[in-house]
Amino acid sequence: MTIRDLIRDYVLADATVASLIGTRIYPDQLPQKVTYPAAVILSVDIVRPNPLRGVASLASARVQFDVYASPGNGQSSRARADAAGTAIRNRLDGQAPTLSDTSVSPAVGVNAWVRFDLETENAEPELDGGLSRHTADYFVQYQTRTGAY
Amino acid sequence: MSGLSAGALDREITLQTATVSTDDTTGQEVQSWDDEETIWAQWLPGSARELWQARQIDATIEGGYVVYDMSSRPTPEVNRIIGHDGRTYDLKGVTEMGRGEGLLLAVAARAEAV
Repeated sequence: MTIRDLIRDYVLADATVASLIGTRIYPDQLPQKVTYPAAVILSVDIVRPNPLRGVASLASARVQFDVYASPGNGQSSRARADAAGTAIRNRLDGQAPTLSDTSVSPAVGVNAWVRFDLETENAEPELDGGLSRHTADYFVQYQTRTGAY
Repeated sequence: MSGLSAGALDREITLQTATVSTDDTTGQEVQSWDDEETIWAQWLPGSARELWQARQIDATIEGGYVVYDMSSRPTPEVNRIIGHDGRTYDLKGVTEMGRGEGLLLAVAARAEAV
């Protein structure tokens, strides 16, 4: 798993996020026939400070969530995008979670500290009845595991 | 005599009209769609393409529906069409054919399976 995968799992475990977007957080791109709202998660960059010997045991990633929403349930696309984006922010900002790497057995806890960086909005009016976008970046500082993540 | 051939209008489509309200929180317009009229049309297939937008591959099909002229012509602002294939077509433009004989409704929709 990567730090992106760990953060994705942590966000999806939140009940409010799940109620708004289910499990529809995807790396790189949305599926071609996606149900909205849905989000793309990206590792914009990962910085690993160079130690004098060995591999870095701490790293810092910038992780980005792009939420897309169409109008639905009597709500505007903007309201739906904002709601899902805000739920993700509430889950992450200022938190110090122990992320769970379930790719190894037994699962390994990864200590992390997350803080909000910036938020932007945009629109794709020509697609699917008009989409609203809510983008937010987060810094994730975390403990690596013998060079993993 | 009409320039349109009734026999060519062999596709049934549904014209929908939007009722526009305002989202109290954001001020954004919200459209709710109701069936306005079912009409017969001729389908003129146009182009198909895939685009990368909104972080996804978007397949689009474009074409036109030829219909008899209507006393109240549809407009791109408040009308859309449920096409003969079940797709929801965005109305891109309305062009008069002849002198009030027919209308060409230029439309586009997502091309993924319905």
